Amino acid sequence: MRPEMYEYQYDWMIANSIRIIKRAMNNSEKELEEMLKYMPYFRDSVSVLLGQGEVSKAFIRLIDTWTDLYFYNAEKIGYKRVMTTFIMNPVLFHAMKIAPLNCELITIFGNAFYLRGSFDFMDHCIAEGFTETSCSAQRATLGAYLAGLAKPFDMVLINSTGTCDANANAFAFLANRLKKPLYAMDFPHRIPGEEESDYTLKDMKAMIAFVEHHTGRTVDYERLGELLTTVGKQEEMIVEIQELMRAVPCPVPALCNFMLYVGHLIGMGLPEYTEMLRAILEMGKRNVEAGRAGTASGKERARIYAIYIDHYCTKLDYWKWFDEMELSHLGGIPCATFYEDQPYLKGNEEMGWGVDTSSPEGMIRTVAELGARQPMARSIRGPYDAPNQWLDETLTMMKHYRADCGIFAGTYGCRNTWSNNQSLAREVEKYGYPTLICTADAIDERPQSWVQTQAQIEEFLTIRGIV
Amino acid sequence: MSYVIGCDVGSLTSKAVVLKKRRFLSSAIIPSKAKPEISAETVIKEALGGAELSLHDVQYCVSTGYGRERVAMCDKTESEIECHARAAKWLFPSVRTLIDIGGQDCKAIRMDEQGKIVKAQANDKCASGTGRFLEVMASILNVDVGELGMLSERATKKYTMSSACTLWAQAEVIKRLNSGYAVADIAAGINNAMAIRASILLNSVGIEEDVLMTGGVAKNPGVRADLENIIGHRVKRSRNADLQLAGAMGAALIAQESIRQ
Amino acid sequence: MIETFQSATEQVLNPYAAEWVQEGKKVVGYTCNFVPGEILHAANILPYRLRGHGTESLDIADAYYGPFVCSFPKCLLQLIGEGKYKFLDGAIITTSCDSVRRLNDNWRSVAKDIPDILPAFFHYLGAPYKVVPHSVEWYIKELKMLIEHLESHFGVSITEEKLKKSIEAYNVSRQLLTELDEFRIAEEVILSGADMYTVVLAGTVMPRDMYNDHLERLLAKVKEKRPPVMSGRKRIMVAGSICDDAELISLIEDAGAVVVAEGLCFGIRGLADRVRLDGDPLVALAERYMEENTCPRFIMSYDKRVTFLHDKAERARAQGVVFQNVRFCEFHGSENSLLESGFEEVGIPAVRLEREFGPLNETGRVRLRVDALLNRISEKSTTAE
Repeated sequence: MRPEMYEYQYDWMIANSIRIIKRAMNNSEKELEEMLKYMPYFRDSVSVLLGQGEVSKAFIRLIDTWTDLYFYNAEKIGYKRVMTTFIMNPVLFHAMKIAPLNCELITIFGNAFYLRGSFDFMDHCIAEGFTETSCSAQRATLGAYLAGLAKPFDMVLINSTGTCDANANAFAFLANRLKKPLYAMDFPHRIPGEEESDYTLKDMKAMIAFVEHHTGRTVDYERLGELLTTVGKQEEMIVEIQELMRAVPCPVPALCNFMLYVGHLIGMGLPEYTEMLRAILEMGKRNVEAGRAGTASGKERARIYAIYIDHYCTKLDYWKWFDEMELSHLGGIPCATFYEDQPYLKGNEEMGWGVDTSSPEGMIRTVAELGARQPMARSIRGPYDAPNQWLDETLTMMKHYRADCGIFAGTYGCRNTWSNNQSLAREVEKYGYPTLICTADAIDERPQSWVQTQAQIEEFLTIRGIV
Repeated sequence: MSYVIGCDVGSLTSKAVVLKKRRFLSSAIIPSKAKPEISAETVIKEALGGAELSLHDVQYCVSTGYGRERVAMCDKTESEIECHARAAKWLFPSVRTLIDIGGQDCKAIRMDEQGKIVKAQANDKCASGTGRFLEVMASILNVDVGELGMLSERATKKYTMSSACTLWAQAEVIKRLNSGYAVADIAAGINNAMAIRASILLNSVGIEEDVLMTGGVAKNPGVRADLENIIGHRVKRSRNADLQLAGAMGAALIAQESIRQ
Repeated sequence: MIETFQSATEQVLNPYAAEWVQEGKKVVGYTCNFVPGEILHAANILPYRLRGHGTESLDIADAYYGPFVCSFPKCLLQLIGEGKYKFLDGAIITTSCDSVRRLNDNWRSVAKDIPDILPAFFHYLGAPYKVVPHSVEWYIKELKMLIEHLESHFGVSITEEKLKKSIEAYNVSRQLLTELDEFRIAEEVILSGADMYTVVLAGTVMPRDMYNDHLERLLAKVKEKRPPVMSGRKRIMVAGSICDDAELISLIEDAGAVVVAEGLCFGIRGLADRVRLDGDPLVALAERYMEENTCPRFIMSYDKRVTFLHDKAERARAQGVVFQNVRFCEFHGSENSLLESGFEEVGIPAVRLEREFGPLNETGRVRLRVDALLNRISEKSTTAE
């Protein structure tokens, strides 16, 4: 890596950037404009993130809590650290005083807050021996930690084996290279099912035993109960927000989807997440009453469903573009939570999960079932056309949210989806939904720049008559 | 009669050198022909001509490069990695890490004090990080690839390429040209992109000083300077030897050892 | 010496399987070592491991699999699309890895466009990604589901007794292969790595009794004190991604090596270990197939794999290791670099080689790396002297 990349610790840079935004956001517009001059690296990302008023502020407070308190200063609050994947829900860790380091989010923040994105760290990861064909989502974080540019973590815990090899492999490499204990939950390829649930519960308990063995920490069931109660309330708010999104025009801004699932990945059970959800709900309700879309102009030209993930490159251009194009974002795999009250589960209630705080066993089962319904683990663990898998979920959501079209965005390392996105697109098109397979890497902008990606998507929207 | 030949038959260029004892007498570099045996024959003849010698004067010949097995006139073949390492050590005994950037591939080699190879990595699949990348970019800028180095020295602003892939980078360069970016600035960006790719390969074998760059791209001062900045180590310069001949030189040195034995 | 085995591996449908088919008997293809051949054998079905050998283009595969995917399942899909596997009465796709498991999806997608290429029996077999008590239990459930499906589709009965007999037959193969291996790792190597690999490959596509019979005959010939074939060559172990072609082994040996061991899933990795005969045969199969599997998809078992490979290299007195991976193979692609460092640390030179699966048109690249490795071994030996 270039020598200047070693000047600052990667984790400090991210935590500090967010802290600066948090300090800046409560100033007047003019003051903020002035302060942006002192943030040359990430002023564009800041402009996008702060574009949603009170919702933005609540989001910044949430990610600041996570980065400052848990990610960067875990040891100060007596927490250990675990390197984990975005699909591992954080609730259980908080009940064991362990800070979850969400690897993919750390890469995405690196992209947003470094001048040239996190690509130097991605390349460093390859220089350290990691395979260059793997997913870009983990590579920057891996590169930073392998370069010794972040505070060390204590262990690696994942739940992506059986769902995503590229993901699981990245953590395996990191754990084996740095000689850290590793536990990998895996999921059967069917969901739901009594035997499948049974297996996942056993696996969850085995993971807890593993953590107990390696850290000496046990589950504080009282704390877990409190967290899960909060989670239940948060899920109810998410149900309401996502039901609002069915309205035409969609009253929720595109960026709120990102905020919603980032929060879901790191903020479940935390009061800051509740506050942010409340702000989104209030904004959504105001827009619905006024008949406004969530876009800046209040107009909606088309409704897009993200068939897989979104685009997370430097400057967060994708979200800005959504707004400029007056497009509504109806969510995607990362956004759906499958909480039992979600209306899209009608007739398929078994596919949902609920909160049970009546006993420790009930709580662990809740965490296990919730985990089994996290993004990816839920919908791409089995054949794409199996019940409740990718095709089923895509068509259900596109119909439920009244989508005009679907866009697939993923990373080149995603063997799983790139192996059959063409078959999926073909089937989705048969139902009358124009579908684009975007050829960009969602997190590494170098193979296909945002400019090229934007042109590709706009061309699709134009020639298919969507806008 | 103690003349030996080292011949490096690559996919883009073929090189040959004539060595007697410790002196390299002459050399030749030609664009490779379709058949490696014809490339070898032609380049060896040219090299011999430069020293006013003929094949009868040659005691031993070692070939290297992708086409080495097809060179009938040679007595022995040797791997490119071995040949480059041998040449590097001969030129600069203090060299421990070597990056060879050829027309179509790029190799990084780390050696111990005796010149034995400790680790080696190659990129021979992707054009980015090879001379091919520079050739493609130079043609878009409408300059000779040999001018890219000097051009970048005139840059006032370093432009950062956002595309790693040669194909996409072409489109990017065209767009920047049309947007009025200075050719020198773009050239600097191209050299920088090249240096970044080379640095990844170097880091993967681990860097120990002294560091040397060989191959045709070693003649590009822009790439060398950027590489030094990125890896934080000085890259040795050669005043007399043409480092594009390193493979052939190494082969010749091995040929000489063979006749001594 | 190995002509029978060679002819078993040279075509998609080899003569022995063709004869089996002509006799009206059933053949079921499968993707991975997670399908215990014993189960199919007990149903008098010929287990036929799917190979990509003979693929010449990827136009069909590219249309469904796309660009960023390992070429192994793509080669399979290509041959499937070309109708080369039409002789199969069934197929079992395992959840080996993301790329292979999507063969389930893509085979069925291709079948919508190209008629008559989807066998009547089509089964998706889940395999856990770690070896712990509850995951072995899960695997047993999956095997039971497979047995039930086979029984109902083919109208057979796979009893405990039949399973035991099949286990015995497979254990005979394992025993014979182990004995052959002794000659292959001897100081004076009688069986080349390429030949040994061909012999092992043949076991994945030949009827069991015939295979055992030919193994015994080969062993007898090898015991006849034949002249060593690979004297003076450097002893190499090859490990890494799936390789269903002895050509790669030949290419390495042509450079002046002898491949004395391999850690490859088509090779003896996992094939030479017996299944116990006591207790419930299905449990015995599940335990053996899980515990003896050294695929890096078992990401929590890295240390076990390191020990396995080190022991293998030591036993075969390997002087160097080639860690190869198919491009886009996550698991081997990364783990190879850890293993390479590990071997270097204990003084055994190693080299990594990334390649495409399929016709070997990258011989130059392979030789570049293999030559460098062999040179290092030479230098090491010279220094030691």
